[in-house]
Amino acid sequence: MDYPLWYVPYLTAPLLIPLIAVPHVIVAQFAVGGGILLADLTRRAYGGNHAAILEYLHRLTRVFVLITVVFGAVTGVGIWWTIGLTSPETTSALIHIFVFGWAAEWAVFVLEIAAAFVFYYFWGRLAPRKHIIVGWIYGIAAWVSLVLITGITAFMLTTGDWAPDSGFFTAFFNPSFLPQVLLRTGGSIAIAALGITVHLSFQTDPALSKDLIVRWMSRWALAGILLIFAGGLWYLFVMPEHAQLNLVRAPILLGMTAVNLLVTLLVMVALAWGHFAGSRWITPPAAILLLAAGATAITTGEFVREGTRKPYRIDQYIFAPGVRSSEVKDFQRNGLIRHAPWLQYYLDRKFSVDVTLHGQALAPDDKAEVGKALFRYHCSACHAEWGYNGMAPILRPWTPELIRDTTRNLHRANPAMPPWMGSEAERDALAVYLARLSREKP
Amino acid sequence: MVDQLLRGDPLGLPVPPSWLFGLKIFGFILHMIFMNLWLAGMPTALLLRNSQAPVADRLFKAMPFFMAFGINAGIVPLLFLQVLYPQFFYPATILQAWFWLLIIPLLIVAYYAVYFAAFGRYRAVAATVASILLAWIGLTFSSAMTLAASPQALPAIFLASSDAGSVHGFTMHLNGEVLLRFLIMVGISFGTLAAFLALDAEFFTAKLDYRNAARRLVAPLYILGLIVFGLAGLLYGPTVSDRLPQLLAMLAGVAMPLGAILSLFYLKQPSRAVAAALVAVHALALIANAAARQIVQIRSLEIWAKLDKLPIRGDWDSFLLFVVVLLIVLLALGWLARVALRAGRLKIEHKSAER
Repeated sequence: MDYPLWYVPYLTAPLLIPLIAVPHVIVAQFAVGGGILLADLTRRAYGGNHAAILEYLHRLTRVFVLITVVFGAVTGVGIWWTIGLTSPETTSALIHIFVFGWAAEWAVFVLEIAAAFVFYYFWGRLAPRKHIIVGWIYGIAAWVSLVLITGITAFMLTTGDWAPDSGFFTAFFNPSFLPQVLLRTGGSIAIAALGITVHLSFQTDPALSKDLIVRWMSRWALAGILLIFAGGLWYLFVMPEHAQLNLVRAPILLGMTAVNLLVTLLVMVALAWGHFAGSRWITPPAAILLLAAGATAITTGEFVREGTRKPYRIDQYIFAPGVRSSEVKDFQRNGLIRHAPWLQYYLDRKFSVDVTLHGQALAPDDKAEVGKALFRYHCSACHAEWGYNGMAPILRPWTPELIRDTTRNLHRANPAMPPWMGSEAERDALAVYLARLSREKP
Repeated sequence: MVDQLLRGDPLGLPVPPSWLFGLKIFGFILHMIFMNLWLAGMPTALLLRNSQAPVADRLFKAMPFFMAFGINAGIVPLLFLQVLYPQFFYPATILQAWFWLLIIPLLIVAYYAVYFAAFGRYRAVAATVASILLAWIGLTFSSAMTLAASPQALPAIFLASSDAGSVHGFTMHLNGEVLLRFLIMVGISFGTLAAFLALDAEFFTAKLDYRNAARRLVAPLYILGLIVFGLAGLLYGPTVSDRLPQLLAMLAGVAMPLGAILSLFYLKQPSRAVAAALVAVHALALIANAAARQIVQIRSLEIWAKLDKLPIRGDWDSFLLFVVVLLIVLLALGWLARVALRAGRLKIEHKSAER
């Protein structure tokens, strides 16, 4: 709670993260798998001297450049923008731990872009061997970029043996790193194959051997699906206990996991069928439906990954409201307001008394006002007042006593919630505000 | 009071601050080169698309590359800024959250507009949209960086935009200082564009119509840049003179006028030697400006945060990882550049033979 808080009514600021992150992850995985598939398809097309396929791959590369270099790159920056605005303590911690990992990823991404440009703009002007090497540089750079970023995102769920005085590699090679690399590598290849299938379904050139492309591609895609299953299963085993508990406790997370499994199976069957049936099944509606299934699998997978992490932003290190776990006792002893300098600055000017010391003596309206501010800082990482996870409708049937009791044991009421991280006087102010909120009309 | 609001990250720095600071300047220079090219290049290409079609066409087609590498290089200084100064950077962006976030959708639209212009589709509209959006994004950056270096302004903005202690994020920090910093960048951008055209015309093209047109444009563009840079610099310079190192101030002040003289010389007698001299002098102006901005930032903030007092973790193995990856990437980039240049040269020779 070192920074001012940005509150977005109805949505909550952190909900902006998936709005940018989900499209980014889909496109980024499409880029990674696409790099590998393009390199291999180009190699096979050159090998068999398939002029029509080469011409098609040239057009396909243009689509890749336009989607991945522009949308993929900018939304990637966008995630960083959003997490910095909505979870600055977490972003700062990640950057302080992984700055050189990120810098290495930057360097690899420069290579990825340069290789993609040479691969596309010098099409037909390079000797086949060199062209294929450029394609592989593009594919491998994209994959290394995925590996580097996965080390950071996996750390957020499983910090493993890491402690604040540990080094970079202890954080990077965390327990869920390898499972997630397998999962994301497989997902990348599968989503790229499905994306290419959509593009292929719109091609009308009779000289283009779609059968051949589908056969080449579905081998990769099926291998990708196997990686997804292997990585996914491994991932479930290395999840922290609280994350496993979240998964089985929360119906929405369980439902998402089931949807994820079902659509992955559906895609696998379709790809296997496609491998034997050739391009007969490649019609625009079928291909788009399968791509939508693949995008659903990625979206639900990301949702589950984010959802199970609660109440932490970084497992065992930072709670969702931006409080380090080592500071919780101090927060409870001395009050949240004293540890949130911007909030204290605001309240000091608003009430001109030290509300941490004199909170009990405040008038009910003022107490509710302090409670509202506490709600924003403590709870709005996951709850809006109205709207997303809105507290007003949730609390409508609750009595003030029930609200008071629950705030005392938040983490026992729901393991996805952090413990109350403030003083008793502050909790009292929060309860007064929540009781008022429960009676408000939208 | 302000110092009580500002808290650094308890994790400390992975390596000593001088290393991080050096990398920050390196990244910023890289970013500035490409960003200058799009900031000045897009409106120039738009305005000259009829009168100087070969130059405009070349710029439109090069713009996607400038954008790709410029955005990418921009990550580096921001990354190291967040390691060195999280307590200034995050509040400055959170207080203007919606404007800061707006950069992302605007950049996506601008980027696709750049591609539309490059592919010759709806060129005038696309270039207008891209020019306006890119300028607005530049202004937003100036605003955020200025506020991050002026923490004394944070509490008032925070209180004015707060409801229940949390901010709505609809504030944008715009004042004379922001505008002047932005104009200095605009001025230097036209210089960078002129230097690029001289370099490109003399070393990388075989097209005579383009070369001749580019040669005529170098001096006017550079002088335009000098005027904007000079006027804005004269107004802004005195406000930071106590924090601006004399040597850099002198270099920044001398290099661009010298570049303008060289550009006039280039107009009279265009040659590879003069073009190379112009590029070298302008590189000096760029480096001096980039370094001066960073040093002014560090000196403005040292009242509140002394970098040499921060704990250092000594995470050298991750630094080594970065260096090794960077070397491999540079080798691969070198190979790619060689392959591309050879293929480009073959094409030029092929066209010359056809003629």
